Amino acid sequence: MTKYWTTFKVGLSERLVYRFNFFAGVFVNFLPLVTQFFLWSAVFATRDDEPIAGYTLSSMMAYYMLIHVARSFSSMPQLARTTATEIRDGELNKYLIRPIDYMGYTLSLRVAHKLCYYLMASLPFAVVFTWLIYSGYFAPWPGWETFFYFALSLAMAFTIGFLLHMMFGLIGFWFLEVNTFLFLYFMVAYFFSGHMIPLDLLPPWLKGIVMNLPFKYEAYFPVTVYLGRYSSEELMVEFGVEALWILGLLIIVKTLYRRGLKRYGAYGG
Amino acid sequence: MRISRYFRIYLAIARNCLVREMSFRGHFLITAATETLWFALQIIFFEVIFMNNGGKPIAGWTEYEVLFLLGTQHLITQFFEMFFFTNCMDISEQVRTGTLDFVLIKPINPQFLLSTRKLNFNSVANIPIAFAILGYSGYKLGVHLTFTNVLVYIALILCGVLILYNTLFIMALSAFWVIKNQSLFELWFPVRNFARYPIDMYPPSFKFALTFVFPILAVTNFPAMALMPFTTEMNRSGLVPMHALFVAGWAIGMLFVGHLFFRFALNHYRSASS
Repeated sequence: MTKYWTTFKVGLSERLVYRFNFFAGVFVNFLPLVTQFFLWSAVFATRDDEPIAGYTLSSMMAYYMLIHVARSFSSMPQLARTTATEIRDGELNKYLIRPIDYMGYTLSLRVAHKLCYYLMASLPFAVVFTWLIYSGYFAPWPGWETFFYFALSLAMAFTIGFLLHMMFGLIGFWFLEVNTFLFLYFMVAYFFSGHMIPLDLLPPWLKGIVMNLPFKYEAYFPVTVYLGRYSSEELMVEFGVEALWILGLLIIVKTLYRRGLKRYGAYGG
Repeated sequence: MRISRYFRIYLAIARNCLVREMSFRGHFLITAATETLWFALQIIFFEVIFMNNGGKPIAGWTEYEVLFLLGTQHLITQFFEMFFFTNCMDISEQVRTGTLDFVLIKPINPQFLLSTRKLNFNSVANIPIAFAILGYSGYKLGVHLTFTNVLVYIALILCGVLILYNTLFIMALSAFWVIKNQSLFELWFPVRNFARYPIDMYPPSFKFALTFVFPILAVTNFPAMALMPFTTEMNRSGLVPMHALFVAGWAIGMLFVGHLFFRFALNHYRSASS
């Protein structure tokens, strides 16, 4: 366990080096929120503020804001690309010859990166949240119980995000060039996770497909938990299905890694 | 004489880039396909909103008008990315590593070579798609093509590409001082997203700022407005000729500013590692 703790600390200090670039980056991420606000204001203005699929203008704004929070848990910048590159260039050797598990190593590093992100992002997030809540464009406080489920769904969003990215990275054992797969995945995830538009608004046939894919747990699910769109039974079912997805993905990733290692050529390194 | 020489050089560059692109055909196809998919997602986004809102116009813009705007935006972005985007991105690396030396010693205008060296053919595949969307929504809108409005459309598209080019070029030139400026380009994508939306959606202050001070909305909205039929009963804005002239002035003005700034920036070039 100590070795993963050390990895965690290394990851932490590595991240704290680039503090400056970071603040700018976080604020830039909120720019789309401005256009979303004006767009939805215009839409709601045409319908006398009557809700769309249960969303009012303020809960819509809360949705897009919370999507940022959820995506900050489930997105893993560069994870898949780094893994694929390490496989291609034979860098993986340095983990194989050490008494450390590659998956555990990457996970500790990622947890450190995420913690660092929240440490530093909390300020910009607080500014934007305060502004939204102050101007009345946010959902009411859901109560501690729902908040607990929200936190749980975020932790699971992190796990699903990690496994999905890892899976795409491990494709590197079979293909030299994974960037194209990654682009496709990013786009699918952007849309199917509900980042672009609340999934409830999609036409029924598309909604039927999207609701049965794991991507919605990356963003849409935690957000709607916070917004209180589930009854307690529905919540249990959703969490159960998500746990099954995590288990399934874990098995896939483990299998891919084992099979991949057999093919691994260890070029370079 | 000189222009024909530059033209010949440009053709050689284009041929060179095409050959290189075609040697990675799979990559070329997939990159183009991702661009198309991204564009399709933007269309789906608006279609879903219109569907949920019973097809009512947003800020005075009907479904097909928004589609026409998206087509125009795609056209401008693809032209810009085809000719200039990669080149602007590369400037900072050339300054940082000192390979800019090889540009400067050639008997050619350095800004020309820096800005045209790479043609991104991925975008070529997407230009017909933009035209298809324009054709379809234009047909639905009953766009009536005349010599004048087509000319204005083309001119405004050209101005738009020029404005985008100079904005990014000037941003890229900051590399002469701060050396590593990649984060500036990350800023570019969210800013570009502003341009996807109908201008009337924004409150007057934003509308003014994004038309006259930083004309990103004018770049996409004005050409679309130039072609779409407009009557005074409509709730959206139409194209004001003076405003169109203003955009043209911006484009030409920025071309000069960009060039002057480039000459100024060159004086700060330290030519690393040689």
